[in-house]
Amino acid sequence: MIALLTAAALAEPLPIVLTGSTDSVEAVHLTATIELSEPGTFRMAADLPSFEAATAFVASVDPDLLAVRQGPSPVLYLDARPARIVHRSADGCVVGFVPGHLSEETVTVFFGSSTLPERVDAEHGRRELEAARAAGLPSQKPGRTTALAVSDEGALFETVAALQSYCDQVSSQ
Amino acid sequence: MTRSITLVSAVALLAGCGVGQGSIVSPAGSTAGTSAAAGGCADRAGQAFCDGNQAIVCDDLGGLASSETCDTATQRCEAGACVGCEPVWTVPGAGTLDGGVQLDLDTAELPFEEQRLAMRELRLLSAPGTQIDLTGEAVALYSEDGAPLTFPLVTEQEETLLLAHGHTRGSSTLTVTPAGSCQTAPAALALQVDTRRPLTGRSLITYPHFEWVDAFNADDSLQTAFDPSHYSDRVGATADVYVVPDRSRAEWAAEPSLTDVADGPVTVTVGGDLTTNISNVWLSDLSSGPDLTTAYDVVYDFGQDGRLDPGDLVDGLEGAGFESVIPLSAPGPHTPLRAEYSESYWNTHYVYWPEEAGSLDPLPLVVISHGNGHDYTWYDYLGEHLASWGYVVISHRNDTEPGPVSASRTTRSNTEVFLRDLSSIADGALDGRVDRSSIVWIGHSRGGEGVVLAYDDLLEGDASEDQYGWEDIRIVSSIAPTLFEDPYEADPHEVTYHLLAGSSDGDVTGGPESPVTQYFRIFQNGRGDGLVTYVQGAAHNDFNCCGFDDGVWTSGPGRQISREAAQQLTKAYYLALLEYELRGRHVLGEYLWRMPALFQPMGVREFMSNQWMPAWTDKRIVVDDFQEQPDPLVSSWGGAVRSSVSNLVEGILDDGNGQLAWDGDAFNGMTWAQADDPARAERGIVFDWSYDSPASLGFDLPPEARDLADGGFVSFRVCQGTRHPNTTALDDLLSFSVVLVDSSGAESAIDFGVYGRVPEPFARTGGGSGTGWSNEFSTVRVPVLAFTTERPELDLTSLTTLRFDFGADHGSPIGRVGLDDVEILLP
Repeated sequence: MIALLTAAALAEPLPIVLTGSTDSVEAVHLTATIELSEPGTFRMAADLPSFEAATAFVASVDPDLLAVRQGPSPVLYLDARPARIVHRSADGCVVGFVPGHLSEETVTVFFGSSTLPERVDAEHGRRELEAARAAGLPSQKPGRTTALAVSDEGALFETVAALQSYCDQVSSQ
Repeated sequence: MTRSITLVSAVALLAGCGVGQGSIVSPAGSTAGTSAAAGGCADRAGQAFCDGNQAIVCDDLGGLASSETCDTATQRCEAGACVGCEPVWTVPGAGTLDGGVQLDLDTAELPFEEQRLAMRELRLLSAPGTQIDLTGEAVALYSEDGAPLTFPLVTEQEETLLLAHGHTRGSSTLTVTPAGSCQTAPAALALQVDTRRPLTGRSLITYPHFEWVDAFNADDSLQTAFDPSHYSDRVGATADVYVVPDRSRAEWAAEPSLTDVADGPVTVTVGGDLTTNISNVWLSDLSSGPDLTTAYDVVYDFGQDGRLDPGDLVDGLEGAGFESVIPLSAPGPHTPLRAEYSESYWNTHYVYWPEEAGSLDPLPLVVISHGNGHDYTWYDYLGEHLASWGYVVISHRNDTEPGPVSASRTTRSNTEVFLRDLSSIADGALDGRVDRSSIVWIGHSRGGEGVVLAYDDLLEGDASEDQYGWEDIRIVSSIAPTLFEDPYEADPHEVTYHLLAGSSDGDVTGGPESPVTQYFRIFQNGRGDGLVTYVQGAAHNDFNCCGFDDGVWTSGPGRQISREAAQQLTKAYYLALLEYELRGRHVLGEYLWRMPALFQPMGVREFMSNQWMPAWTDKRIVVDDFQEQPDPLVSSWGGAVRSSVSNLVEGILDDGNGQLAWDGDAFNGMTWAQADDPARAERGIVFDWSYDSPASLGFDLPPEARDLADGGFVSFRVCQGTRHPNTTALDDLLSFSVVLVDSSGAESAIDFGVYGRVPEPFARTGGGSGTGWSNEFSTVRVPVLAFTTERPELDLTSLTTLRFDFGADHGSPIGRVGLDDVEILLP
């Protein structure tokens, strides 16, 4: 009985209530494609996908939307994928990654609905992206792209975390 | 040897017989004579002796000084004098025998030398051939050498010593029929057996005048008392009160000598009422050793001979009489060490352990799981504290950003990796030194929900680990946890579950505005021991070193406490909890259930509320938990409820609209259940009373709660109703009276406020107009035996009703409360 109720609850699609607006994401400064020698598990998604490549990013966003809460917070998406945030600064510089390769040309970075990333599956991610585009949230061209390689997920975190130095460069410009 | 009191039969007194041992009795009916006696004095110059019924006194020259023939109907000859022939009872340690002799119930089956310590000596002076009969099943009697005695018993000597052992509650009677021609009436001695009463505690400002407890802070003073209406035979007796280091019963049997370590021994003479029997026996700070607690026994030495004998009163034959406790937030005896271990990015943790671990028994493992945006390096204060007291602690990197389910995985995996890799952690210092069957999970915020989810997954088979299983998790504790998941998933099941939270939390508020922040629902889901430590003025990040000050997000006049104060409290209460649950230091349980308004660990001075819901056992009898019968006038077992309170409503403990402003929502400010799941939701009642309308609420007791002679507690949970006009009018802590009524109509009432009153909701604004945060339940426990203090007429074996009385004569003059889990807790 309990299991059935839970399953029924999970079967209901999560509501889409975009948090951000057209100016919530100021700029995407950098994206970096990172290859992993050993696959990792992406935990910011309901289906826990395995990944052998990731796309790291550095962006400037509305700092109010970055504030860490214990309750539901706006999920930051790169296209249809919730982003793993590795570093956030008080002035709104955010560093993170998503699994897989993204277009090096343009990427839609936006704040979607407030929920838990572990509840976001691929279908919900697509719906968030559709809603964002329907709301006129812009795609942006990264200021810079690069490619890196790391051994495993742990090294990925360290490498992405190191990109926070880019935030310092951004804020000093 | 102990001082004694004697009992003679009424007939003997009327006959003019002597009243005391060895007294010379007027020779009523005796006749003088000289002829036969004179010859006997030749070689007994200066002596007195008996020749049959002849009492003979010789002069110093060997002549006859006097001789009399005792009247054998009322006299017998003893040591050359005619004395009353009536049997005389002598009972060491008694001041009067008018009401019989009180024996402590002692069901232990031990060697005689240990058993006798709880016995009473009964000495009978009577002519040989006197017959003693025993009626009643409460008492067994032994000879001095421990041989069981059978009755009727015919005495063989002038003095017969019996040792009485009370093995069953009730009464027995010894009846003595004089020997031979002595025609005095049979003398009866009543023996009552009842539950042993403790001696140590503190005086109360009003009835029941004294709270008997075992835990004392080391800066407390020690008082002792006993109720003369219970130990009626002690009235008038004098004793020296000793405080001695705790001894086991076997140790007492081997070494009964007394050496006081307090201010005494203090000499007391037992008066006729309890208040005159409260003694200050240790006014200066209680001496404490290097250990967390120091155990003592207290002895009332009625013999005043510096020994524990039968007839003396002792608190501490079983376990300690009382224990003094050093500040629980102070560092322990071990040197805490810290190392970092990283098997992978997510399996990374700080490890804290005592430097002396190699010489200690395997140590419990405490796992700390931080919250979202927090860090595993932020809990040094707790890790080092617990390590100093002999715990191994890991604080691990917790994957909280995806949510608490993800966090639960990192809690499980870090525990697994730590236990698996022990030989390579800290140079193997902990290899073989961790008790794998004694694991505690403590989670903060999302991590606090995560630890519950992790336990649920293990128990239900949704996850498994190689190094440990659900049965190895002994305690799950959440600090201000979120509740994203269905409570069916965030289910502590039967594990001991503890919740620590603060009212100035700006993040996981505990308020009704969101289900995610209503953490009390997790506590309500548990069926094991459940405890809540709720701290007024503590913010979310006060429980780590370095999180931002979320308290600034709150508003209102309520005083926020400092991070240092919150962490002092956290260290103290976790140590109490762990030592209680894992190391069997039961005395520390008193910090978890006594009202914190009057009893907190040294160094902690905060407004708090405690709750303790014991695990479901047959020791827990529900009077009304409001779960089964929706009619507020029918209790959950089907008994009648009689009410004259106002606005009584029974229902689910869930705020109806997410706002705290008083708007008539009966369950305003309740965050203990979710109304959309009535099948499992926690239910309770709310009601109020006013200045001009004192009221009461009475519950028929279920049959299994009508004989409470063994003691135990009346227990219930009560909170003030936030922002209700009556709560605002009271603007103070709250109490009311608890009443027990027996089948004859005799009753006894105790205003529970003497043990500590229920806090006013924290003065926080938000959630609409008014001031006051969500409703804070407190567990109230009133000792059953306290109801008979100076009221022996209340028959604890035939109770019928538990009633609460409200109004100025019974506690707070006005109030609005929520009430739940009205229960009897058996000892």
